[in-house]
Amino acid sequence: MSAGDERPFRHKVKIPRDLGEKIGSTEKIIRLIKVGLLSLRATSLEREITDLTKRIGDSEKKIAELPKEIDRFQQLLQDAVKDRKRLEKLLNEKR
Amino acid sequence: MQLRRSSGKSVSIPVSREIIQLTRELSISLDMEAVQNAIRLGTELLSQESELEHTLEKLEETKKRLASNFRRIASQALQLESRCVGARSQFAAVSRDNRVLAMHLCARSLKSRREEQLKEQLIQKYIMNYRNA
Repeated sequence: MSAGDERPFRHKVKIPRDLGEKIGSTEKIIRLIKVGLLSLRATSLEREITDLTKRIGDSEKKIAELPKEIDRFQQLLQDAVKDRKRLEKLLNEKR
Repeated sequence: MQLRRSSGKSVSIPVSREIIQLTRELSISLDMEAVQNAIRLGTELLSQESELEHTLEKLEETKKRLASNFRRIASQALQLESRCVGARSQFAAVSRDNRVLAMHLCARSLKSRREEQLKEQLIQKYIMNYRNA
């Protein structure tokens, strides 16, 4: 741990004076801020989870579809290679 | 700790490392408006604090598990995409060569009817109906 970590934590936030006085104590304000932020973090995590689930679904779809696409191109390639041999043979024919 | 009375319109209060950590995770800064919003939300949910902490823990676990699954699945998808691009490029390259050969063949007349038919088929395929892969 660095020397900086051992110093008292000095981050401060500002709140309207009337709101602070209404809540009463610093501890209660800190607790309210913490609970509010926990709620925001939960919402943010839910969004991240929805996004990840969608991205996993998209990738699974690709994994299911791409082998067929690879097979299709390999078949087309085989046919094209056969055609090249035919073309070369025809071009080499003596007139 | 009671709030110290202040002559200004706002008061400054020290916050915990946990709060700073949460703001980092949320990528927000705690300006006065953000603090007021957090306090408003906190007031609504204060009775559910421990539930919220438990939910958050579960959500973090779920996210971690999904992120790990996603990395694995995305890597598989990437490999397949790469193979697909490779197969497609090879096919495109051979097709382009065949198109050039078919153009040379246009000017040639061949001996047999069978060869002429084959020539026509290949010209049809690689010149008339040619499409890039």
